[in-house]
Amino acid sequence: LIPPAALAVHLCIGEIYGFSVFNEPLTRVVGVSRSIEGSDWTIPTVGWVYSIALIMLGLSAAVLGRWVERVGPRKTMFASACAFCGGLLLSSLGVALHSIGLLYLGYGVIGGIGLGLGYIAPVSTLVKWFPDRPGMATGMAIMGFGGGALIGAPLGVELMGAFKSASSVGVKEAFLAMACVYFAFMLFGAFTVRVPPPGWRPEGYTPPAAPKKLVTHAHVAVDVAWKTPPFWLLWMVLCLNVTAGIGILGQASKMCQDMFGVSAAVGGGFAGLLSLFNMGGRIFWSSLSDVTGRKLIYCVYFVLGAVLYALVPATQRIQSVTLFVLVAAVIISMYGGGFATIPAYLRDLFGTMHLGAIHGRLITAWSMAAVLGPQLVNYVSTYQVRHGVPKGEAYNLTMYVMAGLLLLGLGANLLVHPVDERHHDQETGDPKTAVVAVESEV
Amino acid sequence: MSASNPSPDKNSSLLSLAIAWIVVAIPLGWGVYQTVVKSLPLFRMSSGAGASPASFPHQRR
Repeated sequence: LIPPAALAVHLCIGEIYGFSVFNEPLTRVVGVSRSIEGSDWTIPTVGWVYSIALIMLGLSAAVLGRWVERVGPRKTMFASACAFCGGLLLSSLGVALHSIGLLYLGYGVIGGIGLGLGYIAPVSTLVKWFPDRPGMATGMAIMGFGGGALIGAPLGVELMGAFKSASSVGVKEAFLAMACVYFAFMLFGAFTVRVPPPGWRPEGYTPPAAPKKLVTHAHVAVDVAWKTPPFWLLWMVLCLNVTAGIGILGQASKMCQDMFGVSAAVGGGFAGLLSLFNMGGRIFWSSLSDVTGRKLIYCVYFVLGAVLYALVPATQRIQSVTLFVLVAAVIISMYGGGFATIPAYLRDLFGTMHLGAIHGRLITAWSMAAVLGPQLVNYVSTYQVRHGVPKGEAYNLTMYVMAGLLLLGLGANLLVHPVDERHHDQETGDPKTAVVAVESEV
Repeated sequence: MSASNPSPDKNSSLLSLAIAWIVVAIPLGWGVYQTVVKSLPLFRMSSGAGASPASFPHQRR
């Protein structure tokens, strides 16, 4: 019952990825049928809601990680449900009163705290339940976050359509309905999740005496872990992998239209397809990492990703939409895979004692990438267009930049090494008996 | 250790397990369906127009 409990929470908080469906209606709250300049909010004003929520996700995961480890997944999931759905309720009030401050506070700050808590809540528990397949276990939960976007966006559109009237765009009612539905769903997750007894092992599973991969049986405390080089190397690995992926994911529809001259509907279809691969890649690649080892799978993400990014300009030159879609789909699947594999990588290096808290601090890399990636794509492509490069070819340089970022990530990944034994927690196990093996095959 | 440990789903009946998975599978399936429907124009375009430059508006301009 643990995987569906984790999925229930992640499917709800993943709604943040679908927030863009509210952007345009929120610019018509006063005018309803059209946006009234000076009275209604503008798109940049509303756009801050999403940014604040993502920043708060990273900050709350980093700051509250230790609390999460102390109180366990059930209380954390409950707190996440209260914050996320309370934020939606406050946002509904903010729309009703047309107060942008309440919207920022509700959806952005309080909702963002709910996102951070909900994101890290089940990770440590899943790894403890599935010590034999930690990649698959965390991949399943984090797949839910990708799936949340697939549910949240159409649900928002349907609800706004149902509540729309002559005096309302339907957003405040949609927020209210979503708060109630999501709260019930998240409570299901909170009351279903359970932590395993200490020393739990699945039937028939015996940990290998001498693991051949980069795995420790010892534990590292969060306050020690974040001061070690492997933590910051993994921070770079996540940040660079996400920066490269988010650059293409955030601009997918526009990029497809500009590069191939397709219609907005086809561009939207392309973005939808990428969302599916983003979700599927999370479970596929992280499960595969249980077989290959974490270091090798990240090498695949970075090398294959760099090669595929470098191929994108060629697909534009020969005007092959099919090839472009295939290349982008594989790239995005590995972007999702990078998110889903990182908790298992952390578990390999730092053990499970403070895994949730360490994961929480690493998530700041995501917040950084969420700012860097889209800015990089926007800046480089705009610069190219201003200097006379045709619009369809303006993304080519960006693709090479992304390939370069992935090669930097490859360098960081290759430098990852086991945590020095002096950092191992003395109370949870004798570090001398901890089995640590340097990965030799990569 | 494993012999003395309860199975993770020992206390959960098959029915509650099935219900739990259905609870998460239904909304997820609906979301996937909506996304596939949204993606259809891409496949119609790919199969109908192929890579012919004539099929791209900006080429005609």
